[in-house]
Amino acid sequence: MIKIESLKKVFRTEEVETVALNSISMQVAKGEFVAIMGPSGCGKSTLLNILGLLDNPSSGHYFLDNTEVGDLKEKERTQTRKGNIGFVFQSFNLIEEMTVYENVELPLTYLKVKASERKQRIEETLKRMSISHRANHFPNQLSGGQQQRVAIARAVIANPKLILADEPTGNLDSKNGKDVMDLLTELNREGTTIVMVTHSQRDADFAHRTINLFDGQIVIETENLL
Amino acid sequence: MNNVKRIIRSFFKKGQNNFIKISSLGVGMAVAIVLLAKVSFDTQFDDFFPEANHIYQVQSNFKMDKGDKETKKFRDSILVGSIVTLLITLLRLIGYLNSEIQRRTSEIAIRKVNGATLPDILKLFAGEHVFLSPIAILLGCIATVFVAKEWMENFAEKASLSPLIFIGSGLGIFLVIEIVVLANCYKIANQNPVKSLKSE
Repeated sequence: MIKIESLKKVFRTEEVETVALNSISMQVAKGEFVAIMGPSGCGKSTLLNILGLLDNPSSGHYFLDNTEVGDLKEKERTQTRKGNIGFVFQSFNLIEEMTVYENVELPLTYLKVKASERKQRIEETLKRMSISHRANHFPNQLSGGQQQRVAIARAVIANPKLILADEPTGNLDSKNGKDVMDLLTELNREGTTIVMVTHSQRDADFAHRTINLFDGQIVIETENLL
Repeated sequence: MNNVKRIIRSFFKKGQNNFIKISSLGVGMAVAIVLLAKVSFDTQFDDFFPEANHIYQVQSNFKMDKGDKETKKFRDSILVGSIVTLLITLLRLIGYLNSEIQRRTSEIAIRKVNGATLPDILKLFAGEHVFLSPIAILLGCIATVFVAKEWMENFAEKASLSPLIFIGSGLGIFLVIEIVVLANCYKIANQNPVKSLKSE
């Protein structure tokens, strides 16, 4: 599903040039759950941003479903991302002025899904995430675990082929963290490909495979026993 | 329809804050419009006193009686004051709009990540102000009518207070609001959304 070849990302300022990713190559099969680990500054989030079409590589190739997407313009990246890639962030990134229902509805509005179908899908997803009783609440009225469940609901509402999670349990306690990882594992079992960046070895153990980065390069890949 | 409900709900949720901002904008605009009206009918003053000096013309040998001179000085000082007041009000308006858009930088980024295009974002933010701005402008115009009528009671000769002054000023202010909002949204929406989310 995902194939990157000799991917390089360089950040340039007036004084400094930083090589965030240094000619990395990797593949992620459809339905696979991959964890990316490494110390701070090793390029994990940069790699995730490129995989999520939020940024372009400086050089190299990125194939998503056998289509080269590494050199798309902003408008094309948004179009490709819509409905195909879902995001889960460490800090949840819910819109404070919108209710849980409206936050989860957001991707569907930009996909121009009809109102009646939106309502049905949102209700099903909220029920699945065990958060329907909070549909009319605002994010600041929810616990961290509940907010992350809403963020996951928003990420999956459009049935994306790929979910990218950037330290999804980073702001959660161990119990809520485990609940979130169980949710992601369940989604993966249903066929969603998941790429997750994490600092936590315990969270990485939920994945099929772990890729370790260091200074922008892949140093080791391990298959996890599940 | 959902967006309208959300805008109204947000307005009442942050009720006090928004009320103070809109009221102060309304008062500022009222002052600006009154002073613009003053300049407008001060130039009409010249129609009643064609032989008196025009504000824009200097005639060193011209002799005026004392009454006219005092009125002229008063008018000149009001003109300067009105320009300064208008500039201050506009600066305050632009500052408020800038800070509002900056406050919602992460929201713009989240919408982009979830599939919003640049036109979607511009439409959303410009559309919100289509609801809020007319309220402020209307408050300002209502305040202006009362103040202007009261003030004109001081004069025997009254110039007309044309509705076009209010319509023109209101449209001008609305245009400034939309331009500032769209310019800021355009700038933020063109940034990499990850940068906006990280900085939050």
